[in-house]
Amino acid sequence: MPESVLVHRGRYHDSAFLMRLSRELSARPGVQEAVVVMGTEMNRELLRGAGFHAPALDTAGPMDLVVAVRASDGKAIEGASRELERLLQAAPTAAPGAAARPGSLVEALRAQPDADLVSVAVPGEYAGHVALAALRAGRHVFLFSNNVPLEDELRLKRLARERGLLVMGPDCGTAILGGVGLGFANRVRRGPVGLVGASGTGLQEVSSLLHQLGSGVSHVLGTGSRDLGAEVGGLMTEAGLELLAGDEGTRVIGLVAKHPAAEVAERLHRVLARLGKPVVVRYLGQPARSSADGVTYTGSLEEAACAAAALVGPATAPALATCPLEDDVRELLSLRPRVEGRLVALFGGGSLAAEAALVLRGQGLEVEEPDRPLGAGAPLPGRAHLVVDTGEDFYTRGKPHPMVDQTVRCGLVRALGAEPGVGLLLLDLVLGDGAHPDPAAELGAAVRSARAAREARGAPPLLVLASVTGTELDPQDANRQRGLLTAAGVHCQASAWRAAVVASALLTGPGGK
Amino acid sequence: MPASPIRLASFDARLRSLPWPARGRVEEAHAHSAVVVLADGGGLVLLAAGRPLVPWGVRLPAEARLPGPGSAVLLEDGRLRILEPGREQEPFFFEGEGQELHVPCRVERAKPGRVAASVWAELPDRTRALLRGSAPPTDPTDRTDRSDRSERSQPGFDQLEIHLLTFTLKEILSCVLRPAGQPAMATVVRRLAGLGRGSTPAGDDLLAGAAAAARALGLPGARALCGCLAELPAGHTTPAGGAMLREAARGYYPAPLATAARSLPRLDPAPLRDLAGLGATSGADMLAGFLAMLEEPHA
Repeated sequence: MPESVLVHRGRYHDSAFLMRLSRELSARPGVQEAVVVMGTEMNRELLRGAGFHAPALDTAGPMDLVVAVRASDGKAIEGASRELERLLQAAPTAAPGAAARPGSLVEALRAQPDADLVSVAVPGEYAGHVALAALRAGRHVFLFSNNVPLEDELRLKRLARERGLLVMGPDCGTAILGGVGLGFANRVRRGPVGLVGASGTGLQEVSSLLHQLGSGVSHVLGTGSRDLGAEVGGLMTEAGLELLAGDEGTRVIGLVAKHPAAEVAERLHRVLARLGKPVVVRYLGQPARSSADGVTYTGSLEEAACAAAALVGPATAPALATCPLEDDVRELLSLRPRVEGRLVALFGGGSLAAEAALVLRGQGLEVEEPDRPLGAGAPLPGRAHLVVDTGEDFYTRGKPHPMVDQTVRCGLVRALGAEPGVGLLLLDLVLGDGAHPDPAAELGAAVRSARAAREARGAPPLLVLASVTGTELDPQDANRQRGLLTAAGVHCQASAWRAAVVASALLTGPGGK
Repeated sequence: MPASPIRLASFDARLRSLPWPARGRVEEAHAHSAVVVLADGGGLVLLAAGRPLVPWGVRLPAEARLPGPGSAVLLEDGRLRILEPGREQEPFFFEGEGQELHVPCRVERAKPGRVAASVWAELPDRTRALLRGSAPPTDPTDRTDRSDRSERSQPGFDQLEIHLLTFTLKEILSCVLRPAGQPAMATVVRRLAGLGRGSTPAGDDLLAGAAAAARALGLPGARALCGCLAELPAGHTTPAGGAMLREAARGYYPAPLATAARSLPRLDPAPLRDLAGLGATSGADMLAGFLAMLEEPHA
């Protein structure tokens, strides 16, 4: 079997990048093994033990990067070598070449004096300081950083309100301003619906569904998840709503958030009622309340998107309407009248996990949302159905978010191969700029592996449902991602809510529980 | 001058003991750190905001930028000045005494607690695999179809790596439990240093974790282990790994490992979790070395 050993002299990268190189090269077609290590004596010995004997190996030293690849044929080796070059060229490198990049807010503002927004992504303990300086310099702030103290958030938002500026965040995952995405944003058509929200993946789901429905968004303004709490009192939600009310390109306004504190909800309703434009609201994790005063309260993210699209006018591509939910359920029930065993739902999007839990509980199903991480290979806790947000802090401590790196989630999926008590797996895929470049390929492989393991053990097969949040314009191409999942035997639904409803129907059987 | 001085609160406490003023130059610049060589031959590591503190490290505030190679660095009058051609940075003022990264070598042996089952379940899969000596966890994102792997009797690099790491870690434990284990220990340490993936190879991380725990628990061979680390020949591992092991030999460790070791013989969950989250796999590997020295780390 052909092999290649390349030695890159004096090349230093951090461990995370070396692991990424190994993973990307291993994933290439025809590659059997790809190893990226520093050329220490012990590693060279180990590589020889693993069957790599190229003479170049003898020339490597502990300051050199060694890339060893074994593949099915020479073409696969060549492909891996080209990919390696591409990855190394794109690698984050240090000064002196990096000297042209601004190293501080002051330098950045000097370099781009016309910029009216500052994106802050430094660690949370420092973020307040940088954001405050940006506000004092008269700029809006997109605050991606998390772990920003609440008192810092309050100080920033009060100052922003005084000065007529926006603070989107902290922990703001997404925003789209005049067609430009910030953070994790989907590439959606520009259109007449303006969104404000304290829910990153909730906003992504609604904006992507609006795109699928033939409509589009004017702006998407994130506020950070604590904005509607009693302490902050919706300061930036109100500011965002006012901006959209005054925006000529916005005809319908949408609000997506976790359910606010009661007093904030009441005050917000009065604000929404006097915006002068139709408003659609989705408060996550709560059933819909009665609509009033031109404010439509909805029971799901999908319903919010459909209601907003309907308020704008007839949709030009009513993708969801041509696929009624009943058809989805009927089709799957015909395959399997009732799923035996537990459901395990492994989400990357926290808002989508909350919606799924609500749907399942609404059907009388007992659902647990674990407050500690599941270990791949460790027994599953309890007996209830499990809804897991793999973006929770205890999964992401020192690790990338599952929207970027699916290592943890794929490990949990594979481990279900040894869990015969689990009959149904529910997944979400959130696409867009900043997200993993090809998540369906990895998740699909993990699903195949779990299924193969069950088959080998003679265990009942695993039924898998998934939703894809994104559009065909996203770098990952939502249609391609759905195709990859379908090829892996995953049943794709048009929205996360729909997938949860279908899952609950499968668990309760025909006629419901 | 800014309205309020920019303060440095996170730094190795030993910096206070340097003969000030001290002057140096940035010799290496990386994405998240810059290595400064001082005129007296000592070193200093400037770290980007949010990075874990390492021996001789200074964590810069978010508004600072890491200097490029060749920049001059000056420690004087309680301040750190970075002099980079064409760029002005305000001086940074050291605040407080800094962080203690030293793990004393306990004279009497301490009996460690056990890791609670709930915390054990949270440990990285890699840590548990290294401790159990079980088969390595497959890389869950690996999409390669290796259905024809069975045609080869050849084990893969990952299999060999985990096997050797696990096996050698047990040998380290065996040596550390015996005061007279030094001759064998030197061989075993050499087998582990420089072994495995990462810019600080996995074996180096295991050794640092083992040394920290052995010192904190007063194991009979703790000093011998540190002696073997000090005597590793230059070039046996990567420069980053070598620097870490030299400091480990003196009893100084990256902050999450030092904190976990200094809390021994108690096994508080928080330091273990912090250590597990360090770096890509460094924390998981250090934790394996650390817990292995407890002999029976969990109930």
